[in-house]
Amino acid sequence: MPADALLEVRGVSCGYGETTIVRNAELTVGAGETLCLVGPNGHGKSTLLRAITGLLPLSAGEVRFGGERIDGRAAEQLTELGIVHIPQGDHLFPDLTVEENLLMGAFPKGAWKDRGTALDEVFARFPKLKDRRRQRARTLSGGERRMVAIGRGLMRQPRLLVIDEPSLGLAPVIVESVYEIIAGVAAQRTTSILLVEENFTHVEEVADRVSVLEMGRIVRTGLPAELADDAAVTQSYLGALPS
Amino acid sequence: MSDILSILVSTVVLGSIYGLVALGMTLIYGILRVLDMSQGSMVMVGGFVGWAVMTSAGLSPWLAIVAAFAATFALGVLTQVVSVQPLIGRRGTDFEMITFITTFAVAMVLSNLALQFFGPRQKNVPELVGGSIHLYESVSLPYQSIVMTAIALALMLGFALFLNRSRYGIAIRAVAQDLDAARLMGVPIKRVFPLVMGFASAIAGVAGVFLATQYFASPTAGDQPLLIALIVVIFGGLGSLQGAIVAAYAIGLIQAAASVYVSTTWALPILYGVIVLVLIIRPQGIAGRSLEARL
Ligand SMILES: Nc1ncnc2c1ncn2[C@@H]1O[C@H](COP(=O)(O)OP(=O)(O)OP(=O)(O)O)[C@@H](O)[C@H]1O
Ligand SMILES: [Mg+2]
Repeated sequence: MPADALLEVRGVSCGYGETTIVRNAELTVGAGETLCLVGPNGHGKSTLLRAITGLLPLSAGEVRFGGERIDGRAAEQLTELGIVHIPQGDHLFPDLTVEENLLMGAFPKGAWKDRGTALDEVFARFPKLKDRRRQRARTLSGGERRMVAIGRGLMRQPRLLVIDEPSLGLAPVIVESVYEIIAGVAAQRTTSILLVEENFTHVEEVADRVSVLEMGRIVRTGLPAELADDAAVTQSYLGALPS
Repeated sequence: MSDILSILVSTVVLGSIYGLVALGMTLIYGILRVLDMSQGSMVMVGGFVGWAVMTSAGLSPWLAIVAAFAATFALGVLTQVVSVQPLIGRRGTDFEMITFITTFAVAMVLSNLALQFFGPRQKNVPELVGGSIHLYESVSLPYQSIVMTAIALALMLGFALFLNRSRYGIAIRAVAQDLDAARLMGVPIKRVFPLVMGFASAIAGVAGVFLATQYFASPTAGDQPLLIALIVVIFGGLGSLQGAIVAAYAIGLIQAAASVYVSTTWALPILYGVIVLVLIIRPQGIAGRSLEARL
């Protein structure tokens, strides 16, 4: 476990209305570290991320960021601390143009004044988006949408990048390029990353450590190599039938 | 020829005033999913502010417009905080229906307060500017109409620019399209919502001054504009700004043409008849898409 933790999640429970989905979750992301969260479909990975970034209230536990308590603060306040959450399914603004979508990534005051440079950087990463800058997001292809979602997240300098299934529904070639970008950010070691990913090949590519979430609980945390061989993990993770 | 000219003149004037009220309602519906029944009251309050500044205090009409803008902005923010904000995100309630009723209640409170303070008598408000240009035969174009149309167009254009170019403008459209994503971008939704209702109400307030100079200031002065605005908003395709503005002028045109070619008493029945017809053919309105975000 890293000594200089940027994000600490302690005993967190959360859910929707009366239904508790995540129970007593524990995880830590160190400064500059990439932690992968894996687990079967519908077991609460996205729910936990939503609670961490302030979209969902906690019913128990605490979340610390740089040592400071952040649970109870709304998502829109957490952006000021440098937390960026790229949600599952992109959540673009369908009737804004590509450029307007990207600009919204620089909404916080500090980032807004540097939006021009940030926009150029995103266009340098995804040249295709530059040609499509005036096109409405709803008319983009799935791959282009993902590029906008990731580009929008990189429009301000994140201290913690939370990415939920960036490979979902994409062709292998595009997944490769998405992971090149994530690996690039991870390699700089200036941004911590909390990543949810289904495909273990990609997990091994970028993760420093892996946490397994099953039935709403974190059941294991370890190095990718340790967990790859772990039969129990493989079973729950791949959703293999019980023997 | 003179018929067509006078229809054109009234279309532009009516359409601009309807456009102002409908623009506000459309913004509020597009962003908050609230069919804001207090917008008529903002027209009424704007009229009384116009009367107070111009007739009672004898001050300049420009000041009246600014004062009406400011007063109804504040009232709109207050209405949002009191009757809409507490209901956002409540589970197990029909938000659109409940806020329809709470804003309607606010409208009732405001018109009864106006009745208490100002009495039921209609109050005359002078023209913003006197004089007119003679156009053709019996048709003339009052300067007043030119000024009102110019201000209305400037306000609509200003809003379009604000929504399309500015940081907060883009954010307001983003909020209407994906609330969670907007929050993840850092948009302070608790501030955006009252702001939207403040601005929308302020435009209605300015329209109220205009209407009061055409007719009167009275506690019921907002009723007819509210109805028209509701129709314009639905007609335009709930939540579509361009649709609302096109619809406002279309409705102005139908009303003006019916007054000239049939009679003034038949103008409204004909207008409503056409609306029923159009909505049966196109229930989503003239620019409506489906039931998603539409700004
Ligand atoms: N808004 C919601 N209201 C009620 N229940 C929800 C809501 N969102 C998710 N759930 C439920 O919470 C559970 C966990 O969902 P979550 O999206 O966190 O799973 P996940 O681990 O991210 O799955 P996946 O890998 O498919 O993305 C599911 O049973 C889901 O049906
Ligand atoms: Mg998920």
